[in-house]
Amino acid sequence: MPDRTSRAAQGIAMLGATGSGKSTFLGALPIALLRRAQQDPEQRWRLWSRDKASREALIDMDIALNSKGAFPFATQRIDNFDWILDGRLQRAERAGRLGGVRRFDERVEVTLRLTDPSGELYRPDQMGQQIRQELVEHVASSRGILYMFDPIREYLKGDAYENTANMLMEVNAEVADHPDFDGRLPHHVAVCVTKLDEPRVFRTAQSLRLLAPDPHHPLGFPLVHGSDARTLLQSLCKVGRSGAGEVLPQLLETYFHPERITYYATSAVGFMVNRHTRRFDGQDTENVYRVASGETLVRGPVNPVNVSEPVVWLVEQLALGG
Amino acid sequence: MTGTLAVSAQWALHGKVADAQGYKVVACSTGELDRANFTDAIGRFALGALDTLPQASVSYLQPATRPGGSYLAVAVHWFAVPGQRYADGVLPLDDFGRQTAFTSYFCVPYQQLAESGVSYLELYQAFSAVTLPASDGPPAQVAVSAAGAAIPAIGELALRAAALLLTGTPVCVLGAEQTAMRERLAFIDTVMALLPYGFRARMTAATWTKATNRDHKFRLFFSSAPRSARPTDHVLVWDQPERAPLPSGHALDYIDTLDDKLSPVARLRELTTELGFGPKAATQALELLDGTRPGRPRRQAPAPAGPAMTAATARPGGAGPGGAGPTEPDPNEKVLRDCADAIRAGNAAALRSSVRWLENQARTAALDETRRAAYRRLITRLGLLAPHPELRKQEGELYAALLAVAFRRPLSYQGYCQAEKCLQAEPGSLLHPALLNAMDRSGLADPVVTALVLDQLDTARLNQWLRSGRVDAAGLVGLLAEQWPHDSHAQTFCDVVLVYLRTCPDRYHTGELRGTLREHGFLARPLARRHPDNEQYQFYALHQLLLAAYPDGLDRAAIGDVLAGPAGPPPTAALFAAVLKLLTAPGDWELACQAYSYGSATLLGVDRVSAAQLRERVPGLRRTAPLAQ
Repeated sequence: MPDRTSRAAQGIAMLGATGSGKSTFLGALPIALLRRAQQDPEQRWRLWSRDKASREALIDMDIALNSKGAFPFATQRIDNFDWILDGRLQRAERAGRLGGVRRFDERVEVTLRLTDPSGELYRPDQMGQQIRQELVEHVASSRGILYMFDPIREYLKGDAYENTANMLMEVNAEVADHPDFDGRLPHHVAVCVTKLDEPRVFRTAQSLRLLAPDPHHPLGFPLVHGSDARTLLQSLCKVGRSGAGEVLPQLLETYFHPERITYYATSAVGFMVNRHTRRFDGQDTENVYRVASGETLVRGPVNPVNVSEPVVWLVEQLALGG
Repeated sequence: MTGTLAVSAQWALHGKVADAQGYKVVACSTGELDRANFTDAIGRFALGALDTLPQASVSYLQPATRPGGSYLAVAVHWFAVPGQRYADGVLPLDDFGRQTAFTSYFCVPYQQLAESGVSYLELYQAFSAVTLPASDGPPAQVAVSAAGAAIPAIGELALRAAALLLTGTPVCVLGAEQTAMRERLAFIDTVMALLPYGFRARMTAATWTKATNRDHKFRLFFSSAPRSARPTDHVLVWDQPERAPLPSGHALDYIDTLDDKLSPVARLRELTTELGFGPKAATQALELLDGTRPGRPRRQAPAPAGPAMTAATARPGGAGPGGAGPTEPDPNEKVLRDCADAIRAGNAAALRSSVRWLENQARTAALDETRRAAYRRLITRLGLLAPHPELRKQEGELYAALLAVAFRRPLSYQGYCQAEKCLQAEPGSLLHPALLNAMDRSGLADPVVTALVLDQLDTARLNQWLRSGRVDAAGLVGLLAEQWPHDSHAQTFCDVVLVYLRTCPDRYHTGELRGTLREHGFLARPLARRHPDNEQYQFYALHQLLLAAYPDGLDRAAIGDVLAGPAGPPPTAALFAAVLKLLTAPGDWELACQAYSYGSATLLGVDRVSAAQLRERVPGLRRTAPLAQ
C-alpha cells in the first residue's frame, strides 16, 4: 500500500464552565493516546509540539497529572497550545474507471491549535469584556469545538444552558457575515459529558442502562456508546438545578449542523482501579479524592475514558475533510 | 523629590470565593472606578495561570469617565498561603480543590505619581504591605516612599530593552527563572528610568507571564518561552545582552544619545580611587571622567567648517573626523584599533561599544575618501575583515560597521574590490560567508557587486534577484563589454549573465538581445581578451549567448550577421566555432566558413587600400540558401 503524508493546522476551541475539566482533559490527552495504542496498536498517535511554550505546557500537565496526581491550575485568561497530533490513518480513494476503491495508509500530522479559556469567560456576565470578545473570536475562527459538559455543576448550579446559549449567540454573530455562512455554525463539535467516574454520574448512566461491558478493555472498564451519550446528556440535564439544561442538545443541534456533533461520556482521570484485583470496581468508581487541606488529587493511575476519541474524531473530520 | 507621598489608591481584590463562579472581582473600592472597570482592567492584564507567585505587574487604566487623566496600576499576584496573604477572609483553594491565585490591584492617578517620580518598586513596596478586605470599602490610604529618580546603573540589557520598547513592539525577557521577583521588577524600573517618565502612563509590564497566555497585553514581560504565533516580540535573554537585537532608526539613536549622556555620570560610582578636595580636585575629576570609558570615544558632533574650530579652541579629542586638525588623531582609527584589541581580548562589551561608534560615525560624520582609504589601510593591517567566527553574532555587526565606515553604503563594485584587497585575497577568491552576509545586509549598489556577492552567498537569492525585474539583458551585456579591473570578476559576472539568459527567457526580448550583442561584437573580443588561454570558456560562453539570442537556430542571414556583420570587429575563432556548433545543415557550415573568412578579412582594422585588396580576394557572401542542395 502506498504511503502518503498530509499536514494540516486546525483550530480547536474548548468550551466549558469553570471546573468542567478542560485543562485536565488536555493534561490527560498524552496518556490517553498511549493507552489507546496499548489497546489497539493500529492507533498509534503521538502528541508533541514544535513550539517551546506549548511543549513546556504539555510536559508540565502530563507530569503533574500522571506522576504527581495533581490537577492543573485553573486557567486564567486564555491559554493557547499548538500541539501536533501525529499518526496514521487508513484512507480510501476511487481508483480506475470502474470506480474501484484503493486503500492506503496516510501519515497525518495535524497541528491542534487548542484554545483553553478560563471557565469564567463562559459566564454571561463577562459579555462586553474585551477578554470575552477574544474568546468569542477564538471560537469563531476555530473549526472544531470540544464542548465540556459538567454534570455535577449542572446539578448544583444549572447554568449550562444560559452559558452556552449566550456564547453561541455571540459566536453566531461573529461569523454571520461570513460569505460561507449557511445559517449554522460550521464547526464540528465533540460534546463531552465529563466526570463519568463521579459516582452520581456513573450511577445515572447505570440506572439508565447506558453502560455496556467492554470485553476488550484491559481493566474491565464499561463504556457508554456514542449513541447513548446524547441520552445521558439529556438525562443529566433534566435533573439540573434550573431544568433549562434539558434542551441543551437541541440548542447545540440548532446552532450547529446536527450531523457534525458527536457525544462522548468521558472521564479525564478514568475510573478507579481496585488495588487488589487491578480491575474496575463498579462500587468504587471515583478516581479523585480530597486531602485534608481541601486540595483535590488523583487517587489511582490515570486511565482516561474517551479522551483521545473526541480529539481523534475531530482530527479526522477536520484534517481529512470528513 | 525625596520623601513620602500619601496616595488614595482605588483597589480591587480579584480571585475566587466559594460560589463555583470562577475568577471575579471579589471586592473593590467604592470610588470613581466601579467593579466593571476593575473587571475589564484585570482581565486585560492577567499573567496566565502561574505556579510561582507572588508576581507583580504594572499597567494603566483610563476609564471613559475620566477623560482628563489616567491611572497607573500596580497588581500584586499571590496565593493565599503563609507569607503571601494580602487580603482577609479568602480561601486558598476553590470549590474544586485548586489553588486560587489572587490579585490585589491598586491604581492611583498617574499625574500624582508623575509629580514625585515614583518608581514601580516603590509602589510595589507600598501596596504589597496593604491587606485588602474581602468586601467592598473605601479607597486605601497608602504612604508611598518616593526616593526620586535615581540615575540607574545602566546595564546593556536594560538599555537595549528601553530602545526596543520605543519600536512599539513588545519585549520578552527569557532565562530569568533564577532571579527574584523584585529583581525583575527592578529591571523593569531600570528600563523605564531610561525613558521619559511619561511613558509610564501607558506602560504595561509583568515580572512573569505564562507563555501559553499568548494574547496578553504586556509590553515588557518575563517568561519561560517566547510567545508562539507572536514572532514580532523582541526576545532578550537575561544575562546575555550581546544576543539582544538592536533596533534601528530613531530607537537606536535614542539609546546611543542616552548612553553618551548618561554613562559618564552613572559610572562615577565606579571611580573609587581615594580623592581629596585639594586645588587639583577639578583637574583630577575631569581626567577620571574622561578616562571612564577607555576604548570608547565619546560621540562628537562634526566640527564646523571654516576657521571657527582651531587647534587653540578645540578641546582635546573634541574634533570629529571631519574636522580633526593636523595634530589630532582621527578617533575612528583609534576605534578600529580598539576593535582589534577587543577581538584579541575576547571583550564583547568593548567590541560592541566600538562597533556602535563606527556605525554612528558612518551615519553622522562626513567621511571623505582620504579618510576612508586610511581606514581601509588600517583594516588591512589589523586583519579586521578576516573571519572571526569566535565573535558569533557580533562578527556580522563588526563587518557591517567596517563596511559602512570604510567602504560606503551601499557597497559598490569598487568597494567589493577594496574589500578583497583588505583581505589580501586574490581577486575572484571566495569571500567568507559572514562578510558576504554583511555586504548583502549593507546593501549592494550595482548589478556587478550584487552578482558577485549573491553568486557566492546563496543560489536561491541570486535567482530571485535575476527574476526580480531589477536586471535587464541589455544592461548586463553592456557591462560585460566594458573594461574590467579583474578578469576573474568578469568571468563570474559572465557566468551569472549566462544563468540569467538560460533561466529567465521570459524576462528579455530575443530581438533586443541580438541587437545588443551585435553592437558589442557578440562579446567575442572581450572574452578573447580576458581569457586568451581559455578557448574552451570563450567557446562555451559564446555558444550560450547565441543560444539565448537565437533560440530557433541561426538562419543564413544570421550567420552573416554574427560572423561578418558590418558594424562589428572581425570574428574570433571561438565565435566561429560557436556558430558552427549551432548549425546542422552542411550548406550552412559552408556559409559559416565563407562568412568567417569574409568577416576576418574585411572587418580588420587596416588601411583603406589594404582593406579594398582584401575585399577583392575573399569570396562574397551568398546569404540566401538554394532551394535544394
